Amino acid sequence: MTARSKASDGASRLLSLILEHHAELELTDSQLGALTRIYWVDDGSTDRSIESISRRLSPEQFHRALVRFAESGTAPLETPNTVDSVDHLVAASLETRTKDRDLVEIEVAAKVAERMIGWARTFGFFVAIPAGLILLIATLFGLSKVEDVRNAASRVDAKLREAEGKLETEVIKAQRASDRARQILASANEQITAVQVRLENQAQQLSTLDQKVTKIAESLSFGQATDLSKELQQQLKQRAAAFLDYFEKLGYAPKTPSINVSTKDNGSDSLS
Amino acid sequence: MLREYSHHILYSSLSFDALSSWASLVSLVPIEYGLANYFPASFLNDPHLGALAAHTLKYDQPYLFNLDNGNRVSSLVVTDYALAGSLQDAWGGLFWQLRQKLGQSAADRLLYDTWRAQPDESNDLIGHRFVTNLLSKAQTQLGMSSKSAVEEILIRRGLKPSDLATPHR
Repeated sequence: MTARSKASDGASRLLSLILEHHAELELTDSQLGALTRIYWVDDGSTDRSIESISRRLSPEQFHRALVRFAESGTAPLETPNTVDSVDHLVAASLETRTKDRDLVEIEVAAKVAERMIGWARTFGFFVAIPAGLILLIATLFGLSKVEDVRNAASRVDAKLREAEGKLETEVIKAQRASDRARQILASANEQITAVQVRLENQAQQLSTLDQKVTKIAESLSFGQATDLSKELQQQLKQRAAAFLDYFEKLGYAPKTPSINVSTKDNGSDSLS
Repeated sequence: MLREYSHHILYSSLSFDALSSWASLVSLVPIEYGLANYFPASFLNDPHLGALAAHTLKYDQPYLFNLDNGNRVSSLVVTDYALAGSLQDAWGGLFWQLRQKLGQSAADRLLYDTWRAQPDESNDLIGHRFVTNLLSKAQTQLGMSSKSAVEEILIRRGLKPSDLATPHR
């Protein structure tokens, strides 16, 4: 064994002791990691000297480590036990770390869940419950209104049916009245036509009578002394009436009641 | 008798009393006489009047008046009854010729309407007024062509164109 290997062996034993009592020495994670690497990596790239170890510890930690190392100098170090112990320590450290990390994750998750639940409660208290109440009221109100509307519609339907019935009745009455009026009108028209015909006939009769009266009014008058026979007088009267009718058609209106006919000569200066 | 009845109708159809001033309206006589002959002849549809009287009075001709003649109206102004009596046949013939030209209905109405529209004029205007009224009514009642026909007959019957113009007092 060389001096270096003896020194290294001592450093290894010190390193092992430090690692074993890392909690007691209050090593930080970085210190623990660095010393663990020095202990396990023995490829010559790492400095496993006492000095190297001391650089990774605080003076107090190194002092306490040396005291502890000295106190443990009476008891021989059993390499296999030491190795097992270090393994155990590393595993325990990892487990602790891992366990702490899981706890942190669980705690975070729990906090998140707790906060979410809080938010949900807040939301439920300030939003969901009022909204639910509003929805409930609206639903009840709506149902009530729908029922009201349905009832109103039913009433309107009933009234409409009643009105339709009345309307049909009135229409039938009006139709009957119209038919009756039409019959009365037709009858009245017939009566008016008959009256018109009667009036026209009467007017014609009046006209004929008027003509006869007019002719009588201007008929020839033969004096008592006339020498004309009755027969000739009648013929002359008929001829005179026809001649008067001829003139009346030209627009003549008789103006004298009668015309005296005389066969006597009134003198040479008279009209003839 | 119809002729005498015509005298009554014609004078009573005027708007004035012609008989009261008959002596001063001599120019009206031949026209009135002509119409008094024309209307019975038109009514009987025979231009010969007085057949019974002519037979009874033993006339040389079988009628008293013949409207189917060619006599001319020599003057519209008449101052004595002798001329009035001679012109009555000319006016009657003129009216009958109008009837032959225009037809009975149109001629009868034209002559009667012209007569009863005759105004109360002085003697020198009576005939002239009757002629111009006759032309005016022929135009309004029957049209321009009938008026021309009446004018032609009047001229043919001896009236002068100046007689056909509207008289001015």
